[in-house]
Amino acid sequence: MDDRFFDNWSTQLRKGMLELCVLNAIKGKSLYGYDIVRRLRDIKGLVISEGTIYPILSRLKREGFVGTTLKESSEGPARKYYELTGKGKQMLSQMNDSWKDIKDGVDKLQGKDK
Amino acid sequence: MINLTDAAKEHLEDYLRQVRMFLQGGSVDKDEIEQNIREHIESELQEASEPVSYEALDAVLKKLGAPEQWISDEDIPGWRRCFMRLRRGPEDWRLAYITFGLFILWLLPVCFTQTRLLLAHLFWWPMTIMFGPGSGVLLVLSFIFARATLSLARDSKELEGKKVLIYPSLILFYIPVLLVMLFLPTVVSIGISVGISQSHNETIMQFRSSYEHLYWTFVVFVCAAVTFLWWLLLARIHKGRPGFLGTIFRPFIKTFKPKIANRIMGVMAGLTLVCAAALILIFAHEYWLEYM
Repeated sequence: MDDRFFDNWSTQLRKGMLELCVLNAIKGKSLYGYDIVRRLRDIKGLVISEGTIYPILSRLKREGFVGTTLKESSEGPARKYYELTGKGKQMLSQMNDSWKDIKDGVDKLQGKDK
Repeated sequence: MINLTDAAKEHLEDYLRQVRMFLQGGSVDKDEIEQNIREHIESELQEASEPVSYEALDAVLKKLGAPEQWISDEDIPGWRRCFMRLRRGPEDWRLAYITFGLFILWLLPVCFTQTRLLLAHLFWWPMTIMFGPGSGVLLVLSFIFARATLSLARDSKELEGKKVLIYPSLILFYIPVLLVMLFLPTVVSIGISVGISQSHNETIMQFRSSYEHLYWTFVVFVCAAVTFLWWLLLARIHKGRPGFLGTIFRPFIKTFKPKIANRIMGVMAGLTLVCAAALILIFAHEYWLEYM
């Protein structure tokens, strides 16, 4: 029962966090899909199925928060690089502010602000 | 392009077919995602010895995960969500869909055959639907699954989407149970009082002028008195075990309001007294006319 509760909770937590992390991963630089996955999988517990990142990228592109450009690669065919659009930068700034507020609040509750 | 063994190639195609199938009809661009997946696999296996084996590819695909884990519910078309829940659970959703499936299985043939017989058996068709040979089993099973779904739900929020699936069979089952629970003694008392009236026909017939009045007043008196006493008993049981009605009629009755029960019992007690008074008056009137 406890395991189920924890699984549900961590799944919900990851769902919201992944979009924030994807946008932050391409903040100020353009990366191709696999590079984004590599950067995110280093965060412990964040990415359970690596494939999850690709539908998120697709959705963010559809919403206009990220744009894509094709770049030639020395290792094979041209790769699709993702970068933040102006709208994406605004959204990311809003999301980061919101995350900071939540994190500060949680830190305070945990007594980490002292 | 990396070189794969035949088995690995087949495995990859099978995986991509699953990806395409799963993303079909959703709001994400499936071509773009498939392209990303291919790039991902190539990048991961860049340094693997070629031809890439089934096992090496499988390790990469396992890390990518099953496509159905990738996207959130709102990105999946409604009809696919139903199938997914039915196929892979979670268990409480599966039960809800089984409940509804059994209910539909019961309903369809019943509607088809009963429409034809409806006019001929106007008063009997609801009973035939409920308890007709074979058909009732499906409804009973559907009800059992519905109650199991209720038991598995931890709170009312978890029931939100399932209501439409489980409520039809619950309602259909609860209505006759409620009617039997409230009025079975009343129906029995009608039979008994009519029987008593007829067995004392000769005595009643002495009062010719008020025979009809006397007959029906007696029947109503007995029914009202029995119903009043029966409901009084139900109220006592409920008072002793407050969860009694809530357990039977879950989730529709959460708290039983004694105020409503008191009002109904007041009406029944009043009716009993009025009928008793009417009976006495009719007897007194007839006795006066006959012997005084």
